[in-house]
Amino acid sequence: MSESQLDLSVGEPTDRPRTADTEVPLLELAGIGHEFGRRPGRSGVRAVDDISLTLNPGETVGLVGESGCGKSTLGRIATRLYRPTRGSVRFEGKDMTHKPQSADLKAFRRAVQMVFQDPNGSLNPRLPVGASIEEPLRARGVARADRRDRLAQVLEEVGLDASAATRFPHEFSGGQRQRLALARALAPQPSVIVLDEPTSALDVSIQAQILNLLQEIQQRDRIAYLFISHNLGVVRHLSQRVAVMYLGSIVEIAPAQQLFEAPQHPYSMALLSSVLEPGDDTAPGEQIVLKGELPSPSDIPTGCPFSSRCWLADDHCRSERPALTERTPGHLTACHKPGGHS
Amino acid sequence: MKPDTLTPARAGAEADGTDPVLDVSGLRIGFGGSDVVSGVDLRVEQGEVVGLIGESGCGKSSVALAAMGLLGSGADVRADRLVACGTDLLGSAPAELEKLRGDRVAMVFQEPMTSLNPCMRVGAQVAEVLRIHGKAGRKEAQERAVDLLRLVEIPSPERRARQFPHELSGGMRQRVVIAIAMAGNPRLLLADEPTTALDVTVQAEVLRLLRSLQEEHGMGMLLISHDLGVITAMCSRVQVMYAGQAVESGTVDQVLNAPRHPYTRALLAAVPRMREGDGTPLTAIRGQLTDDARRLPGCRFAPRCPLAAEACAEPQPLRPVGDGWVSRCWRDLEEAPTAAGGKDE
Repeated sequence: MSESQLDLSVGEPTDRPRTADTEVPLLELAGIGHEFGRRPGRSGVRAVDDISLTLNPGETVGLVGESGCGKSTLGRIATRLYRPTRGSVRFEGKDMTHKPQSADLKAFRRAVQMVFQDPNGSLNPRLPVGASIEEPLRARGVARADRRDRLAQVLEEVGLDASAATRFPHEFSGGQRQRLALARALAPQPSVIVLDEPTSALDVSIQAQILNLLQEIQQRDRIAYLFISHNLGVVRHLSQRVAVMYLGSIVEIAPAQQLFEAPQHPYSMALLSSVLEPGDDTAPGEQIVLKGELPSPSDIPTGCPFSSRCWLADDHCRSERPALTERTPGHLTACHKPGGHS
Repeated sequence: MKPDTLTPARAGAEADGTDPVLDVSGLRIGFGGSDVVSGVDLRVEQGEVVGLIGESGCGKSSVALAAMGLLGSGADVRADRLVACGTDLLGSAPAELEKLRGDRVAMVFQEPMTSLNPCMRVGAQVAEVLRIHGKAGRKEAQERAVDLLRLVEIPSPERRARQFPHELSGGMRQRVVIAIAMAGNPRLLLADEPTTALDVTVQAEVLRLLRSLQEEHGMGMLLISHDLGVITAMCSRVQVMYAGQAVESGTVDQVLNAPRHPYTRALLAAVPRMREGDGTPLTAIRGQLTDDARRLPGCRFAPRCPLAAEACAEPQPLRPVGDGWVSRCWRDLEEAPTAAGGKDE
């Protein structure tokens, strides 16, 4: 879609601004903290705690962790669906959290899109899907004819026939609906898409179709993905860098290969060892079994948040919280005993 | 014969004439005139874990419900043989089936919250099964309920027994459901996606528990899952279903390490692996499973199969391809060097 780049950006430069990869990251989360239900004089539930993360053009960063670890909250902060209670979200170096210029915020809203697990949330059941896909363009005042062109274009990009536009969501299968949700996200020509469990509800054969499609789109358009998933196979397949979250914090972040082949944080080790794969002889008995239950986010242990379940934890771990430290280039771990074995 | 013989004793169990705990042949299940399951054979021996895999809508859950006699009057269930723990499920009176369920045959479903009563303490829910099946009086049932909660490795079972389901985590709730299933000391456990709703670390614990209970009690188990990793870790034999039919069946080693049916191959090729990530595109299966596939006289996978040919329009029986190993494909894929999905149409 290089030749027919539409002018979708009212009052902004037409071409997507290029960020020098080394200078300013495309999207930067700095010291993000988020509490739910905080009222004066009462602290809330700390869903996300002091997270910093960058995303460069054309890159996929995987965000993994178990239910309730805060990964979806972080995804919603990255798209500014939530305003974080602490820290800032910067897009192309501009702060989007503290009184941003309205034109900047507008550009951000166009450039950063999101796809959710359930595509039905992105498609109005009573409108033809074409209308739902066009909506973000209409909201930006794109002319009707241009919208029509773009609609046909994105439908083709996600592998659907242009005639699909006039049909209703219930006429499509789950996999097709996820393609439609993706088309809607692609319509305003984003430079970042936050994907929150986009294939978790799909069968593996359909999941493979969607994952391949995501890769194709990225290679062609150089879109950066923040890919949130609990499925580690999927994350490994798609990501260049991976961050592991536990109880609202990033405990380890590293290039995908390093993280999956030589995890340093005990939680990452336990998580990885629990994954069962077809044809693998790892019996359930050979896994690292974590003791106890995941603590509630409203009652996070002092010191290292993982200390209550870690087999390496000692008094030091329980009293002092380890900082996320870079030990080899690009590989950061928040642990007093990284890589340790019991 | 000791009833607690372990998994490898499958062949032995047959040899000394023990009846299988689940014996199904020619099972057909229809809803409103069209068959969702057509022609499934399945045997689970004592002390054996058999896996049933397939994607949404392939009919695997209907098979399990039929094996429990749980499909209502809306379903048209026919079979040459449908016997669980010596009881003929088609010829038995409803009262007899009630006695069977929760006693010799038990079931664990995907979502524990739909199995548990949200307004009842979990201990009482376990005790209820013991009392209904006449295994204990009121007082004794309460005590044994606590023992069962201990059996499924719930910490401080006395305290937990007095809690309500919403006070427990997802993994703990599934343990309670397993405790209820174990109350009758079943010989056959049907587990339909028992860990699909759980996080991987919790899944690992629950599978370990199911495995040790199965071994200790010599239960036969039918494990239904869409997760090929779970099936590999738990089962000795596996059956792959597509569009209401079994397409391949054999040992886990045969079917998941050297699959013969193009669908099994394609399914395995579509799974992104965490332990071997090279980022090469996955081999997706083109198209999707539609209802039309069930009406095809020939191979039902043919419309999506990368190897489809004219001969696939003919009815395909299950062909033996090895010792106890069958595949519903006329091709001999033994020599194929790569996964079938690797070649483009």
